[in-house]
Amino acid sequence: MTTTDRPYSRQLQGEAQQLAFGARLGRAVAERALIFLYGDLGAGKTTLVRGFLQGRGHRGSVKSPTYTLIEPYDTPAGACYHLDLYRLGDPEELEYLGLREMLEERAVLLVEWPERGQGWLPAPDLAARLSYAQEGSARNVLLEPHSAVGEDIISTLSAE
Amino acid sequence: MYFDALEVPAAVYASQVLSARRVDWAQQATRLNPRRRSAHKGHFGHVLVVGGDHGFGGAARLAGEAAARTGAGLVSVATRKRHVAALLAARPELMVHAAKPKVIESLLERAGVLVLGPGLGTGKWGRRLFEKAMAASRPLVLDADGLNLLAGLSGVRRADWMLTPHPGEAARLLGSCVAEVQADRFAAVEALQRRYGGVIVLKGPGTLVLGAGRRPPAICSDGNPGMASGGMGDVLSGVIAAFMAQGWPLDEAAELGVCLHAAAADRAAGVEGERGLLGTDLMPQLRRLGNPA
Repeated sequence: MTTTDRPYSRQLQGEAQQLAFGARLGRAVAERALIFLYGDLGAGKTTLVRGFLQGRGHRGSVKSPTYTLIEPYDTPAGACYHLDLYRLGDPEELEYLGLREMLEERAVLLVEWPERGQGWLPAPDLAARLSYAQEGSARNVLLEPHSAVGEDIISTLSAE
Repeated sequence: MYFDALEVPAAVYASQVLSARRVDWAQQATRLNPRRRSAHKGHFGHVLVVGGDHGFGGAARLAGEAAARTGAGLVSVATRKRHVAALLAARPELMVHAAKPKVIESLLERAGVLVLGPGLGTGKWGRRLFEKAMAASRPLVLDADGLNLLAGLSGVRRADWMLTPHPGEAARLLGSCVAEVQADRFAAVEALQRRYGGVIVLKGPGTLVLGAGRRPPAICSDGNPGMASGGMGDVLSGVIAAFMAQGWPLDEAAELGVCLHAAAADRAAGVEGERGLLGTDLMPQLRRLGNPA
């Protein structure tokens, strides 16, 4: 996995800004992308995903895939899968969960704990790293592109 | 708790992933079988309790005695020299040692399961023992000051340990506050498990147990407010360690231990009342309930 020299970073104040940023990211992604999400619990991964789905026109609830591992969403902007691989027993299980089909589909995959799927997950288009800022409810978000698709996403965000 | 199915078809329930499983002793007890007639103490493991700094010797005794009453084959205690005689007088079945650096290493080597933390303190003595015990590659139950010392470290994860925090200790481990932990106990137990690995027992009304696997958290429906007394947690750590020593996998030992401890407290409170319930009141009940008919 190589990082290009064009990361994109923002500081987000509070949940409203985290949701709004997620929505912008959701709108900046075309119909296919593999996005890895990194960050401690409470760093705002789920909030980002919620915003992301809203940005793609999803209106229903957003459930954590903690025990299901995968939550599928059929949004107006296309299929989207939210994966949380923390409780994956063995990376091989990804085969049974239909990872290959998801990757071949025109779909966006948002993957938490991608390191658990090592060897079975391809390199991402984009990595999003969330962390606590120095004070209070602020969060830092850093986006790293790893492919042309990832570069496009960052260009779209930067152009806004 | 009351439940009405509202005529929802069973298939709908079957399609849902559970977010929690209710557990109690009535159901957990069915896992215990009578002991084989040919059993000997070597079959049931060796628990070593490390703790009991000055002023807290009772914590180590409570954990040790609870382990013995839950069926551990052998129980050792490593504590302050000054506590050795008192502990032996109160419970001669415990093998009680003054916790000196040299002695502790050979004790750690002989033990199968460790309980680290009851009355350990966070002073120099406690920190030294904490480091030694953490370095021994033994499955362990970390409680009380063991958790407080752990909260001072960063990036420590293990698969072979059990953390048994109350909400205050959980908040320290997460760098959060008690109100936040209590506002969403399911999120807190999940956060602790992801950060520290192993099995997490988040104590409180409706104690939660969560391991590393795909099983959703267990919530214990036994227990009563009488358990809010000093020493109750020390008993729990000994009970859980005893199940581990007897060969139960970590997550099952936690569920068995939490339910047996709570059911023993319910039974003891049923006899004499909740107010004034003490850890030692649980001991006879642990034995009675731990031998289901």
